Amino acid sequence: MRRYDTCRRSFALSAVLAIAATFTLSACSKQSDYPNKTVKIVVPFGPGGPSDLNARMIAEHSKTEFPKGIVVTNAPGGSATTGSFQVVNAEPDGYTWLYGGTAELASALHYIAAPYTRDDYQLVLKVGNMPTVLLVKKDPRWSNLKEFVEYAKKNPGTVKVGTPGDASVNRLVGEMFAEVAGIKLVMVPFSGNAAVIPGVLGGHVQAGLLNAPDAKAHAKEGSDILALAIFAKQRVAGIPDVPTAAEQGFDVTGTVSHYIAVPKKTPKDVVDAIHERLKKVLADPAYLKAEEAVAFQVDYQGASVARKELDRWYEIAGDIYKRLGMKK
Amino acid sequence: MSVWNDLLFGFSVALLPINLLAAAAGAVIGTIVGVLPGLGPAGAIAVLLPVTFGIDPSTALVLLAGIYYGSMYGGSITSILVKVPGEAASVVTTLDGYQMARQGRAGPALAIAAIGSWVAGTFGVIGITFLAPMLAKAALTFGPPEYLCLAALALLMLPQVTGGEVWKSYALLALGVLIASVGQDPTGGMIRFAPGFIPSLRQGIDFVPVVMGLYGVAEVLRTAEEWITASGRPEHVTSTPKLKQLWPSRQDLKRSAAPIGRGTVLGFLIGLLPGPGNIISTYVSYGLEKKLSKHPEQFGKGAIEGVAGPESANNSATAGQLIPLLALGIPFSSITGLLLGGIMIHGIVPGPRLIVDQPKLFWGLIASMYIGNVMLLILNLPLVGLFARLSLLTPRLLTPLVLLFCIVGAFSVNNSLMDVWVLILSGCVGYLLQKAGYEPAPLVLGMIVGPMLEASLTQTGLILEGQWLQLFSRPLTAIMLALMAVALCWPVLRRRRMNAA
Repeated sequence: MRRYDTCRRSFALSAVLAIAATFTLSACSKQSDYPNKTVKIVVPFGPGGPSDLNARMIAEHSKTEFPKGIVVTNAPGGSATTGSFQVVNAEPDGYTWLYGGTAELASALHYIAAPYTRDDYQLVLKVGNMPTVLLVKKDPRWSNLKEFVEYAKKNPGTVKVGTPGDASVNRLVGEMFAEVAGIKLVMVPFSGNAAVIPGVLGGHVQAGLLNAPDAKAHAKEGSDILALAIFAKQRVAGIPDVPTAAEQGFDVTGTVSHYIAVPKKTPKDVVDAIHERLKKVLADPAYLKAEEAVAFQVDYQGASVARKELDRWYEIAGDIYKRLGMKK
Repeated sequence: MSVWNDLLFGFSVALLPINLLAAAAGAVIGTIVGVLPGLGPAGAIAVLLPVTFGIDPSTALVLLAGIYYGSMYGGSITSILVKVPGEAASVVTTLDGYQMARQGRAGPALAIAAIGSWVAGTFGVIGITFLAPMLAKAALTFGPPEYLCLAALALLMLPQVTGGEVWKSYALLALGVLIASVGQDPTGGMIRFAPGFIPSLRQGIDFVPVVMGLYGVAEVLRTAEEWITASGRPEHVTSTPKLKQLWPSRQDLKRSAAPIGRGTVLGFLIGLLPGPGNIISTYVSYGLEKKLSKHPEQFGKGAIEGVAGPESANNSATAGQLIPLLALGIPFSSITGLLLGGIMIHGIVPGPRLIVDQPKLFWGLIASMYIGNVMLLILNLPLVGLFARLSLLTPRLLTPLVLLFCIVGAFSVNNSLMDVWVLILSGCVGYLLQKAGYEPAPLVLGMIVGPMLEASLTQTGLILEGQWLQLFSRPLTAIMLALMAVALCWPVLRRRRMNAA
């Protein structure tokens, strides 16, 4: 009997030790072994667009920081809420990230009944900005922003501006600009950034509001398109010839920014691990050079600054949507 | 002429072994992707985009573009053999191509499709070579008011020609427009028809699963029904087609020549305009051929013109679509948007100066398209015999395969299970429609053109500041409005003429 008791006791003891060891080891692996699997970035848009390309650039330049690699998946639809929701619901283990933009993370929630709120995700960091640019077709009537505003003042309601969509961030920036400049612009919605350009080139609309990368593509020398102003605090390195609106007397800034977000319940140490490594990727000179070539302004900001920015834009956008009657 | 110099330079790039390999790979992958129902060129290009990251940009573009125009060759194969369009641009080919296959003439149908595709593809590239910048500028004169009239014209005219009773076609057209309005509106303002208890509807209903369902799954269901009710032996061609029937007869070739020519020109011009030109051009070509034919009653029963015209049109349309992309840097359809992304991934930002700044990319691509089209002809023609015999495969084997490919393809469009449900539902609807004597082609047309119409309507209203009468003073829209009036009066006039005679 006694031998049996000893056996049982030692068995119980070793069992407890084994369980404790397993728990400790798994906890350790979460902390020190991240990343030990392939990371999946979900882009809530189709392939080939700016979010998709930028996410792929990050993946391409992350070979050292994320040795198991980063894979980009596309989950388009629902004004980018489908893909965002996928990540919000994903396993909070740090291996599923959202490459999210200003709209789907904040302002779009004003007019879309999305299945998530701003509290359902955690921001890891901000990747960068694509400030809004006002473009026109070269026209003797306006060679700079002031002349454009003068013309609009004299001919209210006749100046048509193409936007990538009625609810797009670029359109909101345009509305902000119109208010500051005291002019009335007619916003004509197109289906996406690319569709605005033929409208401008063909003279069907007089101006267009686009992201900096699209503006750089089309406002080159030798083209009929002129970029009148970029709505950023300072000139952007990738597109340095375009003066800011502020320089020309109109203090308006607005941008679509890109962020990396993870599910809310992701443990802090995992989030920190992602942050540390990703920060290094965003500082990689090769990555910076690639992004500058497409006029994407890499602008690393930590989670709390990013969150404040998003919240501020959420308020501003809310006011404009209300004024436009677009709030849900 | 400097164009010849540029072209020779292009060939020197295109004939490099790596680029020849890329063209061949693009051709093969494109054909396979075109054949497989569900997986379309967009899916394949999207999947291969990241792979092209590390390759030279000209090689990457040769590969991706090769997949695009290659799929226009392959799509017709399953359309003709099993009435399942390989991708949406081959829907119209099912109308007559499948009937030809049932008559034992799958061989001629496939061969004419391949030949027409080659002629149109090559002429399309010639068009790009000499006319790119000029045509691109002309395409810009098309603005929202012109698209509005074009969309309205398409919706008015095309259901009259896709066969079946006209009112049934219009009903399906309206249904298609309605289905397409689920989800986000085309100008990105709000989300519609997405109640809280079915959140997946928020992403809208993609037309790819609907097409696969209406044709592919419906055909699967119909075959299954045939099997269950009959003795189990398919009523298809009961004997191996004789070798003579594998190639088009002289009469076939004579009848196809003009449709191929018309389809080429039509497809090229339509490809220049925004929207899925490769799909729309097939409908327009079919309609045109039916109207010009001396035997319109044969359409829908195996008229070879109904295969020759549309198959040529979709190939030259891909060339047409490349023009705004390469000459202006503007993608006019989702597939060219992907190609744009494929170029931008290398840090090249396409714009109006692409042709001048990146001669290796542009002329290398053009030259490789000539080569690619020849490769595709060589790939497709000898295999006609093999493919034609595939139509004899027992349904027991073929039908589950088709269903599998449709399901996988539907999922792959957006990585979404919702699309699979749409596929299955469309399949049931398509099966019932066929039983009731409806031809589903107008439904697809409605889904594609509906959003174009709506977006243009909003834009035109804003641009014209509500002065709709201006549509009569703009030359292009005035012409289209006149054509619309003709289209409306045509059935009435024809009936009156028939009654009088």
